[in-house]
Amino acid sequence: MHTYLEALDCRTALGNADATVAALLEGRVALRLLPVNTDPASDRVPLAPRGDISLGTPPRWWEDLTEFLAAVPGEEWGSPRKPILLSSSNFGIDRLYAIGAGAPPDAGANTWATAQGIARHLRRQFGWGPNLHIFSHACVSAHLATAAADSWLREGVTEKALVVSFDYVGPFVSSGFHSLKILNAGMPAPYADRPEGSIGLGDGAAWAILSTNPAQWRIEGLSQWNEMHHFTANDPSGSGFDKVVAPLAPLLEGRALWIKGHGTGTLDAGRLEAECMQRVVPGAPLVSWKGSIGHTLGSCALVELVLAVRAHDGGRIPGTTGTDAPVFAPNVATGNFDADPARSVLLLCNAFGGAHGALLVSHA
Amino acid sequence: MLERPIKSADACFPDAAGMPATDDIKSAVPRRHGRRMSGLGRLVYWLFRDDPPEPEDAIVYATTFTEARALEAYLASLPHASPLAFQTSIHPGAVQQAMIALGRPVRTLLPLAGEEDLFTRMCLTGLTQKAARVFLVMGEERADLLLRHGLASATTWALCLRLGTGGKPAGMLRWERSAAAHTSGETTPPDAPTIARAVHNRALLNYPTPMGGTLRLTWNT
Repeated sequence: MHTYLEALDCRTALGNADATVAALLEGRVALRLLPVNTDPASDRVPLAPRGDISLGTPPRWWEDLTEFLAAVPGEEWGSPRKPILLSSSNFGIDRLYAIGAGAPPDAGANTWATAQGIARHLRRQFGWGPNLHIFSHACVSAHLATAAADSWLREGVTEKALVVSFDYVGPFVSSGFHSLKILNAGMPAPYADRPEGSIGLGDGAAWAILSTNPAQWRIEGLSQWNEMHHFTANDPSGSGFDKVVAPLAPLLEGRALWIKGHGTGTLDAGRLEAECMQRVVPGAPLVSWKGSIGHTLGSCALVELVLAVRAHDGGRIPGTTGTDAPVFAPNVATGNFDADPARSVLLLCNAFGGAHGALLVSHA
Repeated sequence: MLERPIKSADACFPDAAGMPATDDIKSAVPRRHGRRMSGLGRLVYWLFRDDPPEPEDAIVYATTFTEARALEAYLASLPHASPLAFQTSIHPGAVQQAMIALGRPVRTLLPLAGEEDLFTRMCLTGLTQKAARVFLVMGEERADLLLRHGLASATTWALCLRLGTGGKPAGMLRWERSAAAHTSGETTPPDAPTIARAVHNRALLNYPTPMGGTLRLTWNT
């Protein structure tokens, strides 16, 4: 039994899925240098928000997210056989930033601070039932929600599943990545062999309906691996990149595919990912789009899955945005290329703690 | 029906009567790791230490407020953000800290967030995993500033259920499925610390689930 992608869409700083793909094919970069926190004089770092970044109640992204999710085809979402799998890395964490800055206790405002609070707001907004599950594992969050939906469908415990993921940029998270020195004044150039690495952060939201009803795209396999080597660094041997694709190896053998990598713009992880993919699936082009839309954090796996599917359906795949030679491995594609003859896409994502996700999808 | 034997079950409320002291838990963690860990991370390490997850096991981790004290430390450091407080504050830090300290990779880690029915959701997620052993881990850590805002737990605690076969099981975790909707008015589970105490005391648990049907924990005597 296979799981199929019945319907899906995403939203980035460049617009919805089709608009984002078109912009990526043109090489447009949504990232721009903006203050890292609420002080206009603070360091400027590459961010790709939808609109202005501000703190408020409800959060600045609520209207954008709910307008986007209003397009989800109607079903009895949240009923026993139709679960919602909600994922994010940050949910409403900028309310905590406001508390840290001295905001007084405010029960109403604090409903926007937590994952459960956001879930309650979403349920109320859309009339969703209680069968809603929240997954949060930093930048592999959406991958895990997709994996759980896939396993529930294969197990027959659900009929359809709605996977929703979002993350919007704010000062809490920007300040954190800035403190790790990977969010700096440089623009990200994923897989570029250069002296200093840098990432950018961007707004992202996506939804997908998964079911066992045959559709154009299907999930061939999913995998994850958690290195637990170090909280903010990969095992330098690159073992995690190999381990995550190992269970998919029989499916990759002889398959014409291209790879949407994680590719944030950090040097060590970028090198390990590019070299591993060159070794495991030589000749398969590797791309990352985070040099344009930024790293959309917990939503990136689903946002980029939607972009990959839409790009493939359109016949042209955007190359790695923001990157020029030299690159870490010859498989890194810096220019656009034709989807043909590939029928499959391997999608990778990583997170803190050496967490890895891999997803193989195929055009039926 | 989905069911799996419970190989072991443990819950810990540090410093409570009959429970280990916080200092004992702290001293059990290798010092080079302990200083980078949250109280919740050390507690998960304590629960894992005698029989930790193997690489092909699965961990399902559930927490509502996650690394509350690390979040407070991070907020206090702003605008000069502390990188250590930031990385320690990230969900699902406690399990990752414990596994890093144990030097153990693991293939499957499914971290859940939320509040309503969180224990039930963790169990349902665990029951659909294929791994030979599934660790169900849940916990919170007490904080100060965030507790005043209603955004942290009033107590520090954690529980760990190991699902798997082999040996005499301690009990059974069972999801009796039905299409019946989870409706208001049904018996809903108590709060998570109460469930943790029930697990510690080997009390029977029996709750309706949001995916329909009933979740039951039964214990062998």
